[in-house]
Amino acid sequence: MSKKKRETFRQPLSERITESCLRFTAWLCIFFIASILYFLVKESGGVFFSDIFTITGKFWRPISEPPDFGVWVLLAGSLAVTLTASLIAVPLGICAAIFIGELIPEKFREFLKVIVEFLAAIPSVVIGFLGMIILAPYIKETFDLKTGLTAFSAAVMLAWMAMPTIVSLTEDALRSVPDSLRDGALALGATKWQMITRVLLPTAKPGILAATMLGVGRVIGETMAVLMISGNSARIPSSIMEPVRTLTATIAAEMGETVKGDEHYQALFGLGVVLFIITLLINTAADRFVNKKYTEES
Amino acid sequence: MVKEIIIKSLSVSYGKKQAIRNLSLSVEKNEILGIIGPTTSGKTTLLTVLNRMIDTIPSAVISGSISMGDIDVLTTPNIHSLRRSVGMIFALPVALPMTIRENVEYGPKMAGEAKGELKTRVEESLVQAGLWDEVHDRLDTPALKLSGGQQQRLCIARALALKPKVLLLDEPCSGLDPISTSRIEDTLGQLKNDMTIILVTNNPHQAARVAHRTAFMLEGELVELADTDTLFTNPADNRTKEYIEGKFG
Amino acid sequence: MNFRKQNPINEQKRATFGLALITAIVVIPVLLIIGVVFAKGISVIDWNFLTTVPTNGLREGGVFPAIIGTLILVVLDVAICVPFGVATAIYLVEYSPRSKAANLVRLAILNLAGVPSVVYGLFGLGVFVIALEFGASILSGVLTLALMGLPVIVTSAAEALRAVPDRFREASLALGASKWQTTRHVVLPNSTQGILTGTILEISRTAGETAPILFTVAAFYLPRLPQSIFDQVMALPMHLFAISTQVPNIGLDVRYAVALTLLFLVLGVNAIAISIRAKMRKNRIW
Repeated sequence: MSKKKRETFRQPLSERITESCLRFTAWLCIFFIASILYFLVKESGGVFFSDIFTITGKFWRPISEPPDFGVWVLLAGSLAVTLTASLIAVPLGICAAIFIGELIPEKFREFLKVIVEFLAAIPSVVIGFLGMIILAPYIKETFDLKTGLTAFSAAVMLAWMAMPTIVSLTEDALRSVPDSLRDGALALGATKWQMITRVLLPTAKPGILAATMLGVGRVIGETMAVLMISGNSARIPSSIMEPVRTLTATIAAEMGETVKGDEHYQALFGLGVVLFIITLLINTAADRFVNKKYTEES
Repeated sequence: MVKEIIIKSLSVSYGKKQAIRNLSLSVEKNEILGIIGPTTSGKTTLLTVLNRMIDTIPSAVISGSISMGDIDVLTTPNIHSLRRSVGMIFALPVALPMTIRENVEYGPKMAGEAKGELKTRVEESLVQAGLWDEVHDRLDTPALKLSGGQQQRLCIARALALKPKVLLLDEPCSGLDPISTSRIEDTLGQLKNDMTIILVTNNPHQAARVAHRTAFMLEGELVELADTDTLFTNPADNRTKEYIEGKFG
Repeated sequence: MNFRKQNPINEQKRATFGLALITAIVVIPVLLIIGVVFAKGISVIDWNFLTTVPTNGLREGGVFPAIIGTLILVVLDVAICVPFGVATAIYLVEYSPRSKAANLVRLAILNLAGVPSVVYGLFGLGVFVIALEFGASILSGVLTLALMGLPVIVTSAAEALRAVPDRFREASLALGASKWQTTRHVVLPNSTQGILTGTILEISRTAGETAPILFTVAAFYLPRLPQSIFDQVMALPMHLFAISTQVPNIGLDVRYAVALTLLFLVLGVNAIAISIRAKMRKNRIW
């Protein structure tokens, strides 16, 4: 009887119209993400079912006859760059987050956070430019290589590009550990550092993991800096000191040379689908960890 | 004795928790009805049902009936106009983040009252709430800068600006000092001539000072309802006696 | 836990020192980047550089069309994604915070935020440039950029709306105001600064994006200003990319100057957003 009572309540017409409009715009977001996937798949044509486009293929040769569209070589490039960059960015980022969030007085904290925010704001094309002009020659000299445009060079640049994400999300994760846990440890006579390592970090693990995953997601999706520094060689590298090609750089570099509908065009859209799925998986997984943290606390 | 509000067999639950059980009572016109009882007795829930603020809680299940004049409170489609004629004052003063004038004007303005009306309405309401003298020269300053007691009186003025028939107050003085408390109690005494007042309070002494009749609620049930004097000096139910004597709650 | 007296304190000192060092490593490159770009590029920048068109295949002249192009793209992008984004945020926060639909929308936003910029470029190419036949144009570019900016605006607007305490909404409803009236008169006015900060950050981000405009709008060498939204346009990030990789023999200092112009624009706008946010925190009245 009670449920029926409340359903007889009808809002005035203007309220219902407003709510419908707002609901419509919100649903557009779902429409947008779905249509991105749809279009990518559509434009990739049947390429996923063809012989020349293979996930495990080791050669990406769009202009040979018949063309080879082996995704694996590009994926290997992306992975080489991403993993190296993560190995640099994650430890440094977490350490910086601990320092900024826990170990310095309030007034310096804001200043440092602004600088980290500036780092995040620098356009990737500027970083790519500086990488080409300064870092690549330096690496070439230091490691005595044929070219400084290598996976490693790109990884270094990308590591710093990903650090702001990792730093600020890790900071958030640390900050959301309840004060009661901190105070409890300190009251037992622990030093701040002991409290951090034995209480704070273990508790904030899910959040830190999420921060890491989102940082990695950022690196995989990066295009311009990678395009400008990772070299242009679609070969599986035997070391990170060699040029590689990533998924993102390939799309950016070759799209201008294709004709709508031809195999190359479809293959590039196929790469787009692969990238989309990878980042979808990473983001969904990271989201789980962020949410898991909140439910555990409540 | 005209009955302003008639509540019959009201039951309210949130999920598995039963907040009000089969409660029936009537509120007489122009009286101040006090409601006392320990924290989980359902007093606040009762108020939120009376002005349908409980609608904001989707898990609430309500049954029974409440009539106010010719309005069926639980089924009326016009909740906005119901909320204008049943004003509510919360426990902690919630001045809106705007000027004092804008606070008092808010209700009538949202109701679509003519602009010309508003100025006099603001003054009337602030006078009725006993706040005019203190703020008349700074109506266009932020309301959040007022003290706690002043803010609460502002909230009363805000509700009065809508010329309500009923005024619900949910422990309005719980955060206030004794002087502000007694000012508000005096105000209530004057207001009753124009409206019906229901005052929920955690402090039995306040009910004893201010209310004509008092109801004692315990765990969602109405235990006893009587003239205030009678309830406090000669309660019919043992549980009432124990609560008043401070044995629990 | 065995807290012996001397060692934990020394351990903390060493740890703090080590972390400080690491933080410096993280942070110093920013200052270096800004310093180097400024030092090497400032000599080329003068009024002439900023207000004339490039000539001789980008080798001479200024960056005026690129600056204008960037400004046009940014303004139109914000004009589209802010209204949509704020409306979506209002729906998520005020109207149905816990429903299944809202959760789907939230997931959609999360994923829109994670899609790589080059994939947006592909989408823009496939849909706006080709399928809808807008061609490489301001229109295609702006629509692509707005799609990218939507999750940014929704997230920051939602945060700004949530920062308004619930008790204000309750008070408003109890006075007989409707949900929309409450949103419009109580919630929105008190979240404009937060929404503004998010908008300005979006401006800063859009100004620096290259991949989404690579196939959808940007021209390498277009020494005149656009006449309509169906025209192509130059843009600063694209320009920097072009003169770094596509056109040989452009003076190094010229390239630094373009980088400096872009960096100045992006970081300057960012700094504005940061200062508004700081002022907001100081002036909070509740």
